[in-house]
Amino acid sequence: MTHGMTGRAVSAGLMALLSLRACRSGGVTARKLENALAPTFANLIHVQRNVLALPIIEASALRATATCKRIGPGPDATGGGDWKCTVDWSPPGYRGILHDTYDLSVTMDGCYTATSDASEGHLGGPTLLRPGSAVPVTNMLYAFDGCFDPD
Amino acid sequence: MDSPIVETPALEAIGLSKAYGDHLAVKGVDLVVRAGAIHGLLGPNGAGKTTLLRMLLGLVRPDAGTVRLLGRAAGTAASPVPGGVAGFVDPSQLYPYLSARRNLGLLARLDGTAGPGARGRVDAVLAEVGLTDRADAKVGGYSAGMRQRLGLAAALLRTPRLLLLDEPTSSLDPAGARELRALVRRLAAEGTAVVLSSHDMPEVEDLCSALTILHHGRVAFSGTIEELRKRAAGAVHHLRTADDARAREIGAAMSSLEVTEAVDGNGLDVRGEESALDAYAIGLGRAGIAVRRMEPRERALETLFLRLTGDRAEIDPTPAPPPESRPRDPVDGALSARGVGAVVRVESAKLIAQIKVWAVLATCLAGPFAFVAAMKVQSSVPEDTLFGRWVKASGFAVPLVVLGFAAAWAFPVLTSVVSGDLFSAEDRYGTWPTVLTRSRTHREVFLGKVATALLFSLTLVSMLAASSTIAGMLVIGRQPLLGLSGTLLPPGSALLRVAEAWASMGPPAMAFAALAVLVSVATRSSAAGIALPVVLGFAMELVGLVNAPDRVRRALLTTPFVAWHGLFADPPYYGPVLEGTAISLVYFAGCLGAAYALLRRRDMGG
Repeated sequence: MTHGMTGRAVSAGLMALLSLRACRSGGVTARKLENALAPTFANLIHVQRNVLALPIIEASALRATATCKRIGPGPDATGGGDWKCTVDWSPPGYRGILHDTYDLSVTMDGCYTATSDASEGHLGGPTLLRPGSAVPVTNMLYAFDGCFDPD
Repeated sequence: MDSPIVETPALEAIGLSKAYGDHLAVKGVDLVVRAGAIHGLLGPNGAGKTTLLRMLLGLVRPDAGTVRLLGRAAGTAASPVPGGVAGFVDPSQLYPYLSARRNLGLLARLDGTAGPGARGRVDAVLAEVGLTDRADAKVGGYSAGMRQRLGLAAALLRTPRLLLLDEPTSSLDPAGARELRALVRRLAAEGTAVVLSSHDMPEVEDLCSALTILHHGRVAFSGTIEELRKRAAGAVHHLRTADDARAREIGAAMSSLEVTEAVDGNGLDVRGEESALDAYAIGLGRAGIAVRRMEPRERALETLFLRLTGDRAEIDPTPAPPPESRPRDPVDGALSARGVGAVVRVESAKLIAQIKVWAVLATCLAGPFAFVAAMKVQSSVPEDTLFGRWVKASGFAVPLVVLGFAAAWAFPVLTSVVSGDLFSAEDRYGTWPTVLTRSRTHREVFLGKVATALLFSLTLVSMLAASSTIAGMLVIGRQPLLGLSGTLLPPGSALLRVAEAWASMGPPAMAFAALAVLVSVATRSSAAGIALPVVLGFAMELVGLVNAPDRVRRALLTTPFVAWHGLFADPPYYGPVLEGTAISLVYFAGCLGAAYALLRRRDMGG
């Protein structure tokens, strides 16, 4: 490998990197988090009902939306850190709107762990009982992980 | 083309110079050695003998001058040592954790002579240097003399037509030295040109037909032993006569002689040319004074050697005969896949012989099984890790949890443990001169070592991936995996994404291996080569954890290790993986380019 070859390889790599950088810019914002959290929440309800052998509800039928706010550390309204989100959802046949609140720990790369504020929600604790069974199963909606593209 | 009636010298060095800072190690040295000649390089310690030999073998870059070995341009890092050239610079070193037989087998592979007949050839050269009985013992237990014999065996393995030996008898006992001299004479009689350095004048006088005396890096004498003898007539002779007083008076009358009372008070000391001594002896006879004894008090050549190399000696450069034609500039050594492949096979064989390598491989294989077994019996799960809460619910979560752990700390360690040692081990064992004086160019050696480091790193990643996936599927099962958008991934899709996630570890693992190579080359220390990339990895992890600016986080080499998360979203997004791959390649190319540049600039002092 000559100096010239090395230089060309480094230049090509840098060019590729710069091209990607130009295409990919952004970060964690409330909008992106809300757009990721609500469908994930709805999907989990769909899966969980299946696991619990309850009648299936399609995720889209739940009409879930989320509202998120960054709470720290620091004053920034965007970026990784601690967030609080409220999911509004409405099961088919239910006339009102349910509200469930989650504390989220969000990383800069767009992944988060959401933990339910069970005292204010309708989702139960860490485990649930399947109807007709004494064996508890993990409550997927009590705490869950998710990821979204921050760019 | 050489004239058919003019023999091409086996060695032809013109105007070689080398300085280390202000210190002039070698200055304008010419050296021509013909086939079948035994040429001595003589000089006191620090005269420049070893530096000259290193330049001839391409281990040290000359500041000026050219070298042709067996008619081929040589003496640069780019030019491999021609096939018929062999030698060693003191101390000759081989790998201490391998046997002599294994060491020589690997060298034969580097020479491109490994094959069905290689073992017989190895046995033959071991027998030639008297090491057959200890051929299967590890070289680390060898005495200095045995190592010197092994160094000679390594040189003989190349069936040399030009043999360059640096103080080959310095560690041998008298019998061993005698055997070596006999071997050198036999090789020369068969047509091999031999250059041997020494600071032992009697050895050179006994063995060599010609010699070059170096003093402070310059040629103080170059010619045949006979020519030196003619110049050495002024040696001190001890004289006993029937009448020392009259003999001294007669001597005092001769201007070409110096006659003094003997230093031991017993007889006379006479200094003069050979012809003057003859005339003095005749004169004494004519005067009726019987000469009872006349013998050199010092060996003649030794006297001249000491005079030539004394600090106040006047340097009398006697240039070697001019070459028949000016040598061409050295050309860059070719880079062949076969050559790189030979280096990879040698490096792989060396790795296989190391316990630490097996320990790492065993950890990668058994670790995931131990982890999943522990998970199975425990009531808790690693909830703070992505997919950790599902590790008992789906076997496909196991390789992802292992991947999360490995990305945090294990990959820098696993990739550095070999990559950070592959180059600096040659410094530690002093084996660079051994490796670089075989038939592979420096470039092939570099690329072969790098390829080995990458292969090993990728093998570890692959083994860890396979082991953790198999462990998960066998112990937990092939249940659907809950993805990162709350949807269930069926087993086939989950397995595919697990494979993609682990495949995305390849580029950053290669980049960490390249970083370890760079540190290893720059520091020449295995400890630094292994530890520094790990420390840098931890530091980058910490920077990534704090709310660092986005562009800083993206430029970290640890960020690509977590780029796989997007593969488990629905739909999956590949931007982070692509960006991580590009960043890894930039690190990879930059580190390897810098490592090669550093290595090229280095003089391999041994």
